[in-house]
Amino acid sequence: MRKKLLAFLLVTALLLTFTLVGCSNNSDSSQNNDSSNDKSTNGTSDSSKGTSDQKVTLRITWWGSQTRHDQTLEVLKSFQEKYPNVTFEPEYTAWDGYWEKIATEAAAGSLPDIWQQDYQYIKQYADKGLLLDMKPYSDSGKLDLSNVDENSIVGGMINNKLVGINLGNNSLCMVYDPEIFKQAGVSEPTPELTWEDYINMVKTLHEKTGIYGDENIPGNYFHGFAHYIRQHGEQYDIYSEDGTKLGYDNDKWYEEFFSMELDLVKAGAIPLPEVRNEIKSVEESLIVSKKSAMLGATNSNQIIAIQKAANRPLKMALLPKAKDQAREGQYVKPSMFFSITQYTKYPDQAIDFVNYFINDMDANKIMMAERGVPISSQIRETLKPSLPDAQKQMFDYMDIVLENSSPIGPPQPAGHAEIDKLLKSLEEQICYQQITPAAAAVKFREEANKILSQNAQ
Amino acid sequence: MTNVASKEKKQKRKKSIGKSEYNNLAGYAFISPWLIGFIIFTVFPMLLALYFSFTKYDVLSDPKWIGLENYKNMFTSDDRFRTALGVTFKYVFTAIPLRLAFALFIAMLFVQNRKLVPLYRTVYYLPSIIGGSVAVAVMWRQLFGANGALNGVLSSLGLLKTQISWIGNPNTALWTLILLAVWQFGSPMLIFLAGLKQIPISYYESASIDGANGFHQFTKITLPMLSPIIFFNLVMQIISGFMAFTESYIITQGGPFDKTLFYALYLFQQGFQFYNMGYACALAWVLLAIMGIFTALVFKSSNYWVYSESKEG
Repeated sequence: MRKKLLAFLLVTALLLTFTLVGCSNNSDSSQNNDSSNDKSTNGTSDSSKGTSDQKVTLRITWWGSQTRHDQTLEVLKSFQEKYPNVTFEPEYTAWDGYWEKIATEAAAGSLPDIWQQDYQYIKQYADKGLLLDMKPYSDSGKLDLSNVDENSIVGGMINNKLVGINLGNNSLCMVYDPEIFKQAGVSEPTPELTWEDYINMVKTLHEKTGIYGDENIPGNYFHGFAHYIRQHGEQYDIYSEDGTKLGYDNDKWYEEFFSMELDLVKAGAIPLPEVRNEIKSVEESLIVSKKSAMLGATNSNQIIAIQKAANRPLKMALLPKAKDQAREGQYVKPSMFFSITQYTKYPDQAIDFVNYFINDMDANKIMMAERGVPISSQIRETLKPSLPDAQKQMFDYMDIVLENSSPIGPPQPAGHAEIDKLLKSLEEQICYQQITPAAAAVKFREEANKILSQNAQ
Repeated sequence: MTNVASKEKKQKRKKSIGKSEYNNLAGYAFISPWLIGFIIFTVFPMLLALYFSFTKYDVLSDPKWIGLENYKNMFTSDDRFRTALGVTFKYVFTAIPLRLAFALFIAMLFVQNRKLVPLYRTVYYLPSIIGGSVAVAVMWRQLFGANGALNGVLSSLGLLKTQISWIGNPNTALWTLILLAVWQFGSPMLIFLAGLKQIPISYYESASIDGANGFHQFTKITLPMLSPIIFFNLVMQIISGFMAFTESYIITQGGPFDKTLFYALYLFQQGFQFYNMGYACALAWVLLAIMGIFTALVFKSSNYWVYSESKEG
């Protein structure tokens, strides 16, 4: 009896194991049919480029906050009023999980027709020929970029193809609470703030008020470090121009940058990674709950959400400059793009939508520059007087950035996600003093170059 | 009557061996929905993953055959692979024994038929139903975070001077995940309970007449009689332990600096975040091999400690 029971249980266990192992592999299976699917969709695409009154369903995907979801859905509705033949299948999520979803869809050959794109990923997808070249459409005027300056377009140009349309300009910024600065008797940061000034400022803020001076080092571990490297000269960046190796040769810069962070962590002026890692949304950030005088690493378009969460006046400042810097570390960045999938069945309608999104006044009045400062000069001018304070502040900040910036570097190469994780892991080890900044610099170079060369093959 | 019937049966059996084949066919037909699902969603993907494990496959373009390169990299130059293995072993070999011991302890409490025992059984099983779910993981974050409930209690008792994040601190992060695993003891508990109920009460009665105390009864009767069940639970839990994913994915993302990097999470990162799907498939097959080895070891060792009534007799 007992033996039978045992046998039964074991058989069940065995089968369960297979099923469970199967589950963990299922995700692969959904991607098996990749190329065959691509081709079939590709094949039919030409035949169905239809006339404008044909019934068309466009799939569209983006990441964002609830505010963005609501606004974007409303824009879709207003587009449909003008183009009643088009219906949408919107899919929207948070940033977490977005790229895993897109990768799976890419492998299955079922990418959405229109999807939100990021500067970190655009190159990988463009290199694989998955993104539609919109250049012909802008040449023909169907996609109207006549009010857009060249600088706002180039971010979406990869291998001489226009594969992403910038949805708004932003830049890294530090957000600070002027009231706390006043209490601590510290003068507010100017555009001429240097790294030394910054260190002293944050330490004083902490000593005078007891709360954290800043939530993280300006720009955080990746963009902050990139900012610091860029300040050393035109030819330097984290990645080389072709993305096959690191773009700087002096490990001293790594050491200097992360020593600054360690110094601040030791002084208690910025929190340990364990505190920062728990912050999952703008609402949870320390500046909102007055546990920190500054938020040193955020994008300028985020000021709208931060301001809303904090519900008190906050200000924006440029990241610190280096003493006698060779060039500005600050740069204007496309906050995000819309890309159109190469094998979409309805490229004409998709282009119509993107065009509407960047050029239509009604659409932009709904969105209120939530994705960054609009790229069309006409929209900017018409929109500005009616903007709420936070948005006005963002527009003004971007004007200051324009005067204190240098051109953006090339988009991140394949392998960036892995290197980002590596850099974060090393940064945390530095903060907990498991490794010295000097040793971490060497290890980072070694591992990062290995990852980059593997991805370049 | 019975004679006639049995004769008829015999005749039938002689007449057609096809009858048993027919029965087999019927059996296969009945399990075919599962069988088809198993082949399509398990066997096929597994074999495909085996093929991918010999390729460089970045998800966005077609896989390229590179032979054993993935496996070679894994064993010769991948530090994070070794880290992930270490973390997973540590997790499996602390969390699983603790969980089983705890499950057995609770099951022993519930084996008596007291009032309200059915209610408690259900209540204690609840954590396992919501098991590896995202909701529990999120709750764990609320309990053990820097502003979590635990810190609230500790600091109000004056035991804590600076607030630490139990899930974010490199010294405690893995332990909060182990605690979570121990807390989800419901399903082994139920199986233990079923096993305990099968031990004849007469054994205990005669033992207590002979003067055996509770401890003796536990070690000389309960444990040996329960050993097949312990064996089953051990195999099951080891396998599920190696596959743990949700906990570290939601609560810690493998951090701080890979201190909670479970093997399955590393596999996920390689496949879906770094777009190294070929490498991730190789990792999956190595995991399968590791689980197979451990299961085989437990089976081998069972000769020495699993008590079987029929063998004894």
